[in-house]
Amino acid sequence: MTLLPFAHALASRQDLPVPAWLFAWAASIVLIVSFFALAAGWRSPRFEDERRRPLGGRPATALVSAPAQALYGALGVFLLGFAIYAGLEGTEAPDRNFALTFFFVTAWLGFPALSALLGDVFRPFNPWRAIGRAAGAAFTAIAGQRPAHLAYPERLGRWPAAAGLVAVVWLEVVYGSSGGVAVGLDPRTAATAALVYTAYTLAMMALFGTEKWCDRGEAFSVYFGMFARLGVFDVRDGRLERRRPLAGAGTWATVPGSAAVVIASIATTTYDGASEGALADPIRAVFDALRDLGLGPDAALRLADTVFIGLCLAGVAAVYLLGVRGMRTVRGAPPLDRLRDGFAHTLIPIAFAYLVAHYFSLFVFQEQAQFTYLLSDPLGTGTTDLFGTAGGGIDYTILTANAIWYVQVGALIVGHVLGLVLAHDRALAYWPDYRDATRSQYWMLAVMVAFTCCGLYLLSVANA
Amino acid sequence: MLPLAHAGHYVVWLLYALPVIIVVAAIVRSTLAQRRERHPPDPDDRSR
Repeated sequence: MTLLPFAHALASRQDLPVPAWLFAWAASIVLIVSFFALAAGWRSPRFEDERRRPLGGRPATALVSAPAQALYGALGVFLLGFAIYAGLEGTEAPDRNFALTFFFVTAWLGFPALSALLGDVFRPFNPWRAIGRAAGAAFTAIAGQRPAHLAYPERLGRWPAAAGLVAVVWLEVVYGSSGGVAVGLDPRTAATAALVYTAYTLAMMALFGTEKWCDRGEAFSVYFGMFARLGVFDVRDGRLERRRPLAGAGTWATVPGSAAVVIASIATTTYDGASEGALADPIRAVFDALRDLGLGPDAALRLADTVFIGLCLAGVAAVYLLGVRGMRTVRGAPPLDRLRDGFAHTLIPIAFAYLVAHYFSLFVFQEQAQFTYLLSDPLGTGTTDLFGTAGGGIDYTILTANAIWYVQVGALIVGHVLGLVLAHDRALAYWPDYRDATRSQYWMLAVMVAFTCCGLYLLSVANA
Repeated sequence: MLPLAHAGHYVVWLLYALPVIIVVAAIVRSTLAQRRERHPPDPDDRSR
């Protein structure tokens, strides 16, 4: 991410034992072997049943109790409010202001990681949901009846969330550029954007209902909730339940626009990584052409970046849809739209793998700052030391360049193997004959190999 | 000279693309073979 210029300041050069492209070959072989292992040993669907088990006991009940929910919500509102305050009143230096690291590293990267492991951790801490629920409760108490809402147009589905996801990344990566050089978003702009998003979200909640908007249109709820489907815990009817890992993903993409959300996730991560590496020269060429047409440097760079975000979105969508179209060649295939929606959840582990691969080192480095000088001096004034850690710093030597590369490769391999597993399982549910099901997944194997090789190529160029 | 100067980039890109190309080629070959099995050529056609 370009907003934190020191986040990629590595203390060591890469010194791999073999060329980086060989890792792509090795990863592809792992995927192919996994495919045939699944074909041989996985002959009936296992994830259609989530195998939910309620968690009993006082700790589980206390964790999801009404007072606990209120506490989580209050904490979320406080953190949002504090981050906005820091952005508006604190230093303009992006690496010394609490707001930017909190918004774009701690929350944006931390919640997907926690959600993928534990389930929907963001939901109880969602500040907008907390405000919406409180406002709804207050209305009911005063008016004696629940607030009326418009019926949400179900054809719209999660498309507003997909658009919101792209807008967040656009704001951070594209809008933050200035003077023809990408320098990143400033804290004041990030805080203002958070205020605008708050107003927009609360308005939508008033129109359609808090829970409905969180489930369909609120970008962060939908985005973090997508990863949460991989996790083992879930709350249903006020009870904490445990389910089979990955099994929650199968029912996620039943809402229109869900495929768009996961495609947007992969594409925006791809763009963020490629814009500093593989796409740097093409973006520069378009920027120069737009400058020759008379556009100012800011407008030219933003337009060039926007074009390439669009191309990344189209490219990722095209690869996925080619895979879906390929499945149609197998006899007994369901209609195209059922395949498109029925297999969208198989991209969730890939989206998570891309996040880990591209931002793992940024997270490790910047969280050191989050819990040292940014915690003690959140406004970056240089005169505050709330917890005695204002003098702390980032130790870049805790991760070598080789270690980062191995984590990146490992994340991509694991994510794509899990994607293959989900796709194979869904195919067994759609095709009665397991041999036809396996044949249908040849094309998803090609999709997985394509995403893996593309991801490793972008990372190798960015790391060079 | 410019295309030659950038040849190194294309070679690297091709090395990453080759696994994808190989997998897709194998799938296409397998699909065509299955279609031939399902619709074998009419033996009467050879006599014409």
